[in-house]
Amino acid sequence: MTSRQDLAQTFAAVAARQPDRPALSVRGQEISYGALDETARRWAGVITDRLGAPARRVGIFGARSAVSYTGTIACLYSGGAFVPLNPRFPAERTRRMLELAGLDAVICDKTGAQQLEAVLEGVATRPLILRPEEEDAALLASAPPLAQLPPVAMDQVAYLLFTSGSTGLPKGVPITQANVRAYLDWASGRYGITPDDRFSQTFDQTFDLSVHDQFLCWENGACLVAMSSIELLAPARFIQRNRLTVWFSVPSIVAQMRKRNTLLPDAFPDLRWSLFCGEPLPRASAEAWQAAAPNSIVENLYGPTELTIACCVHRWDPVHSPALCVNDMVSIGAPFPGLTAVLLDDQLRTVPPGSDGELCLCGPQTSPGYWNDPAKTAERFVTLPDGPIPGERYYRTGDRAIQLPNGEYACLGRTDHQVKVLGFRVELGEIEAALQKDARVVQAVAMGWPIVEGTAQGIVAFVSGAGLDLNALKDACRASVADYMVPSAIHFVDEMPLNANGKVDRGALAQRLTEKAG
Amino acid sequence: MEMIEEVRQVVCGITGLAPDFDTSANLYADLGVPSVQAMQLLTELEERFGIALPDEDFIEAVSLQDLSSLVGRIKGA
Repeated sequence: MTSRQDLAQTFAAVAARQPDRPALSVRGQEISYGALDETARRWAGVITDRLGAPARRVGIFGARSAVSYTGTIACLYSGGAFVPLNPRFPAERTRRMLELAGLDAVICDKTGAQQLEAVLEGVATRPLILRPEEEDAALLASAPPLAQLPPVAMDQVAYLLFTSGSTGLPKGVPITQANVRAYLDWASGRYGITPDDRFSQTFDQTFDLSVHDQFLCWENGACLVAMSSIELLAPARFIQRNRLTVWFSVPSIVAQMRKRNTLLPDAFPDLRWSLFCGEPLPRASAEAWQAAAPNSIVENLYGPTELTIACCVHRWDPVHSPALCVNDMVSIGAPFPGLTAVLLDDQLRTVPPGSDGELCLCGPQTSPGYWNDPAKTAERFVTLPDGPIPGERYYRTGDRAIQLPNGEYACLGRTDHQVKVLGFRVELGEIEAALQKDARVVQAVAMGWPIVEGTAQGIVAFVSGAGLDLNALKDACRASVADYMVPSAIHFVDEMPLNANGKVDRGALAQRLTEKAG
Repeated sequence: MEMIEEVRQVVCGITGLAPDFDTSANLYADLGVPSVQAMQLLTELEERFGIALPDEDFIEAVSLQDLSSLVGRIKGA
């Protein structure tokens, strides 16, 4: 059944029904639905009062805190789309996102507040700033809770996320209320969440998988249990102590636990669902986690931000799934009901059966297109006159895939220069652009390195040019890209090796790294 | 050299923190050490002291004081 309620109405209804149940647990402190609702209404009241109108877009500048979660609800209650901003990004990047998004307001937690002045430096229009843990605490605590929530249309943007852009500028991906409603209806139906469930929250709020955590949890009245970045390094004890019943993370956390031998059989008897997404899932990780969580169903989810959280799913079956693995990576499964997938060649024609091609999908979860970027949108969102559903908009994922005999899909790699670093989406071009800001750099090439089980552990860069200061280049990267994108090493080359087409031979550069390591 | 000073050396080497930071300060919440450096710190301490540190105990040892006690406890065990 598809409901047509926006995220704010949905949350408000649950809060009215069960005000005393815990909605959130952060650093051991539980916050009830009623308290979260009331606080969000106070903040929304201040926002709409100060703006003189419902909000259009509100930045949420924080990191998995009571303020950042409450702020997300407050934004929705004020009628706006939430735009997560991440304190782990350099100030310059956050400023760029703030400007591109055209924010009416920004809600900052303690961590965001520390960076705020650096972010706002030189900004043309200063948005309304709310700091509930600092100067605005008294104001917000005494503001009357907004009684009547502004109406929200289902074609309005629910959230706007930025992803790595290959030319250096981040790309905005707007997702509508209808897009996310379609996803949540699928997820609620599949996972049967109840108020007794306790959800992990492992993803940064700038990662759309966190939207699954928050809204799948809350619309079913369950409790969201936030984890800090440090707790994520060794989560076993946390999962047990907090009696989590639903786990959702990138596969890298599993690989880390396997490496450190902290993923033990039967460790998580309370887990019912173990979901993984964001990077390839190695067979060995699925098996190890299943052994650790014997009462859990393990699933591999796949989907780019542009298709709203996830669009394909594979249910791990210890008997049948290993044979479906390709390159020892778990199948990404089949598209959700209501979504259609095709594999296309570089002329956008459907490939012959058995061939690999670019995975493209259409359906109700497709973003309207990139934020204020019609050219990029036209490039990636295409209509296929000869496709399965003529006239329908398909999103080109940039992932190369094949179809398995059972109709499921397996990912083979990328068609471009995007890599995943520990689950984070990284356009190598963005790092290259950051390096190229130094006028002495003639050419810059970045690559994911080392690649372990299909995912990059970090970034390595090669640069050519005269009089280069490799340390200064690293510092320059730190100032403009997220921490996981800063190259762990920058190598100087006299001349970039070229392939037969005259393009930089990335394979040859990678070979040098293998030789150095070997 | 005293254990706590040796551990402090390792911490400063990886995080770049000035050596006079408070022994009871939370490295992550108060001093802003990012989680990527935490794992580097773990492996460096293991190598330097020739011990195996249980991950969950390590992440709970958030101050220099806690870390030093943990290393001392494991080394002495």
